[in-house]
Amino acid sequence: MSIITTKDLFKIYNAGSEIEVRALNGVDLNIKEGEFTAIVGPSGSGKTTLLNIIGGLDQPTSGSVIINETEITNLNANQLIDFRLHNIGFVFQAYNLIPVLTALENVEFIMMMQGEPQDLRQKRAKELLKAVGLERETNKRPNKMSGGQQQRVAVARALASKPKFVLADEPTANLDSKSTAQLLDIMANLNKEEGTTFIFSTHDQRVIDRARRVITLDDGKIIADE
Amino acid sequence: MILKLAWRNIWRNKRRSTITIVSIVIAVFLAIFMRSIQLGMYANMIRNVVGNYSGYVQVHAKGYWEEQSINNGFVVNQDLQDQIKSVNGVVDIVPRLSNFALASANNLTKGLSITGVETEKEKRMKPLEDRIVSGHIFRKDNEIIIGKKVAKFFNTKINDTLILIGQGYHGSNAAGKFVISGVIDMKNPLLDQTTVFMDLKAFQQYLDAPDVVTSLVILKKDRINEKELAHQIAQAINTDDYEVMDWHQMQPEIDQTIKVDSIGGIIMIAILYMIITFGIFGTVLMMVQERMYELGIMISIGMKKLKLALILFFETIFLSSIGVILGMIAVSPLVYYYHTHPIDFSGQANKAMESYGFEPLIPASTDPTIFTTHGLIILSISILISLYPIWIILHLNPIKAMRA
Repeated sequence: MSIITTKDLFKIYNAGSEIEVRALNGVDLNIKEGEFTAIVGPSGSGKTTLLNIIGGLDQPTSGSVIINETEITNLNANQLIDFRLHNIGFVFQAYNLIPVLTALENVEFIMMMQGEPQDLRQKRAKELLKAVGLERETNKRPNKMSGGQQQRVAVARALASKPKFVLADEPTANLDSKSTAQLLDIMANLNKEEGTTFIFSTHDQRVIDRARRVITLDDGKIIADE
Repeated sequence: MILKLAWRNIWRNKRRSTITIVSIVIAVFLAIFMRSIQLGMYANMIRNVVGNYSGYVQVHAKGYWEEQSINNGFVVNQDLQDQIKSVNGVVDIVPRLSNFALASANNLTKGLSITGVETEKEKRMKPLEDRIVSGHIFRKDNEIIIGKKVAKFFNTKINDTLILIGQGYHGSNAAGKFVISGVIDMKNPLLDQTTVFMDLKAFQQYLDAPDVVTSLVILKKDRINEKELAHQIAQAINTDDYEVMDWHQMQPEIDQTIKVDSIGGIIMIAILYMIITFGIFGTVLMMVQERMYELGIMISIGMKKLKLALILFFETIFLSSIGVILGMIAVSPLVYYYHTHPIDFSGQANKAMESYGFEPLIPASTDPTIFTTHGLIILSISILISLYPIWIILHLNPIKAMRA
């Protein structure tokens, strides 16, 4: 069953001018529940733009994005914030945790915004941190953790809201080999055991090698889907 | 969590937050201290002149204040006293008879204001005995007490005589020789230059005006507003025959002196606040600009903009509140010290202050509204400043913020 469908997606910057840039040039895409998908391509191919539009962070110039039967391109800014909170988990490149909160509080934070009661969100946050191997780091702030640990907290936070899928934009870009391997193991396990859908944008061959589906973009078009 | 986030965020850059808080502490400290000295000086002046002498409210015969003549005096009847005393807030009535006379001694002459008083009634205000700096209160009909600058002008001592010549009631001549029994310090340079007191009955006899008074000083309860009281008395008595005036109407020069002097202090404090406004704004600006990426992330993961704006609002309020509270705590002992140990000016400063009609002794005011007013001004400035980050957040595009 498709959870993400994009139809004829265009994103054009400086439309009509001499420096018009077509970041997305008619992207049609279907992503099914439980996929572990990597979106690859050279710099400027439109990977991040595609992820941003699927994540409701950016609006396409034309075309539509349907997530679980909701056409998010029709939602206004406030509705999109609410939609993201309840449906999408995000993992960004780096430094994406709130620096003044501990690992536990960072994971709890998203559930607090959802209005979950404190005892329930603390229990789930601890479970998620255990799942990413950070049960001993719950009270550490981000600046006391390594980059790999921070990204694992970010994954736990992304999963805290029980999203339909997780969007990860170059999640391993700033990690060493060991941390990358650990992070990928965790995400692959979550995908396999809990059926969590992961969509990555990446250059990293290590991520590509672990993906079960690889979509290649070039000049804003899908040129391969394997 | 929102309050926790705001609190922790202000300590992310401890040095910057500390500098901002210290600058607010200094501003609050200086503003409160300057204002309490200034308002203390005014309160002292009002207390000396109004509270201890003229009273906050007076009743006269209609038209007396326009033409301050003995012929515009009146005889106090019981009905009038009952009507005035029936007004809530009136404690007592003190009758006085005032007139001008030409005084002469040692080949010198000077126009003076003579006031006949009932010493027992005057004790309800500030007893004249307490203000006597040499000699004693008048005990005989031919005794008077004079202001200390009057004594200095005539170069007279206790038991010297002063000749008073003036116009009595309805055109009669009033002349007499009076013995100076005491010298009085009115705590006001202008009053000290012109004031003479004697017994009310003796003065009525001197003016050939038995039972006549020119004013009834109304003693009021402390917390009763004088304007409101004057209004109520005016409603209780026959205003075709009498006029009721509060001290602002009777002594507009005090009001104006205070207003003019106050402007200088207010300008100084305004400059101080302007500087502090830019200080707080600079901190808030940096707090927002350096966290654009983080703010973008928070909106991306689903944080409502209004909640995010609330965090930044609380950060500004926390910073200011800490500064305001510490500033108030720091200045309190100093204000209390100068309240109990008034600043005593001497030399040129003394003369300059006297020329403006101020006593050169300044006790700091401990009026709590000075503290609350300046605390609230800083908080209001902070609320205004916090509108900037709120505006930034409400217009924030998460994608652009994350690229910042």
